Amino acid sequence: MTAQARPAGWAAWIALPVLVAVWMLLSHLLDSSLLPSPAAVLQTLVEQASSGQLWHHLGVTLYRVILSFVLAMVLGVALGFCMGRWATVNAVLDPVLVLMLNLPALVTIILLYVWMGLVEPAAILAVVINKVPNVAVTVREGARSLDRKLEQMATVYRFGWPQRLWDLWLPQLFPYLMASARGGLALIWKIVLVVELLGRSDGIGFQLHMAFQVFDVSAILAYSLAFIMVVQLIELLVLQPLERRAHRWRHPEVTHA
Amino acid sequence: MLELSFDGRGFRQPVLGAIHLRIERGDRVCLLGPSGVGKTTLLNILAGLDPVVLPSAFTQGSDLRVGYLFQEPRLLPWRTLYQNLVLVGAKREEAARLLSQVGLTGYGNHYPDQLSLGMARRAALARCLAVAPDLLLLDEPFASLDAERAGELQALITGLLDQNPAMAMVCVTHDEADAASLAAQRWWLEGAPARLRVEGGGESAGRRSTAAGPDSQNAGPLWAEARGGEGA
Repeated sequence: MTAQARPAGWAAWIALPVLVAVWMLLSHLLDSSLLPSPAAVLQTLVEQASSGQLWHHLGVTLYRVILSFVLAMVLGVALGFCMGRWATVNAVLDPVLVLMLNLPALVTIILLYVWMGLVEPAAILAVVINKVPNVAVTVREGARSLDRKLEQMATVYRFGWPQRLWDLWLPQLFPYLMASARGGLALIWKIVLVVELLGRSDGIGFQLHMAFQVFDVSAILAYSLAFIMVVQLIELLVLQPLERRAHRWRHPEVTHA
Repeated sequence: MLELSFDGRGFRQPVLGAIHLRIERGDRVCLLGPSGVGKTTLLNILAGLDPVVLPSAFTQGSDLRVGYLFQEPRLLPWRTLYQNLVLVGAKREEAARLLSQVGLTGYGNHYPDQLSLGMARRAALARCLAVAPDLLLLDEPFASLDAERAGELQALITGLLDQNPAMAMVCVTHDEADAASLAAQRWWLEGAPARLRVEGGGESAGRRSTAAGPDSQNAGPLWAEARGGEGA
């Protein structure tokens, strides 16, 4: 731990209010429907929420995000772990991984819609295929950095597979898992919107598509804000508590000697 | 109890030459030699950690329960001392007993990073005991400790060995005085590739006859020999 001073509590509350103030000012000066004021966007948000539209589309998108996130994490972690641990597996699969990393999301989405039709599995699969390589690359680094000395210790003391997984590997991989979960969540919901825009008839991406047709900027901003808030909630209610729990050993409360 | 022989072939860099050794229950051995001669390598082989030395090199004793005190404590930093001990198979009450035995009463819920090196090493020693080892391997247990702490740990280890007369010990050290205070035989590892030379059985034999007691089933002599390093 570095001895860096803890920033003051108000530090986090500067940038966003300034941004909103600039937005208010600009919308006031331009006075155009192409840049509605924050108040107008908020009003749209409330209207959409009270009509139930917002919750329906939010729910559908959230379901797609969670499903593809879980699938991508499971597959990516398994792939990355095996590649990091066994050089032969890595040698075989690395070219495929590089290929997949560089495959544009849009290409995957279009191809899967063409091949499978405009169906839900195609949408989910497209998102998963886009995310798996990123997770795999991150977790591969983690698997490569596993402590060999602790590995020897585990061998001497005859750790079984569950113990190795849970007590030896997971704590060491945890920072890498958190990094890919954070990056994953941010990337996945953006891809989900594209997938919805191109081939689904519900979800936030679909609503954005509709709003785009009529240049309804305030709807576009309202739906985007709604989902950004959902992702923030996931960060605050799931990821951060998980991280605090896993890092307990770094900042233990018991210090009596 | 344990018999091992290998000819030094198969190593990419032949640290060890041909080595044949036998360890009986209750034996206390100090493995001495200059830095880098292969003492830790030999200890790892005894622990079954060296993939080059196949299990077939063990004529006897490849499946012994081993307690290994590594030079760094190698406790899992994200687990408390209790959890570290329970992980190798100790019951909770047993873990508490072992911790108090090594002078760490009340530290069960501490994490290893909260301990000093000396304390962490004692916790690691408690973990060795948690598996009720046939063979206790110690790698430089007194390194980086001040004289007082080192003395305490020596007394602790000697006491533990006396309490468990069937347990054999191999202790890697560079200090001949350690061998005397642990009442252990001296095995020298020297040369490149290294060979094993045995020294000073007298005081150890005397220790054995008293500490091992009449019920000790195998009071056979401990011997080790080094044959020519033809494999190198």
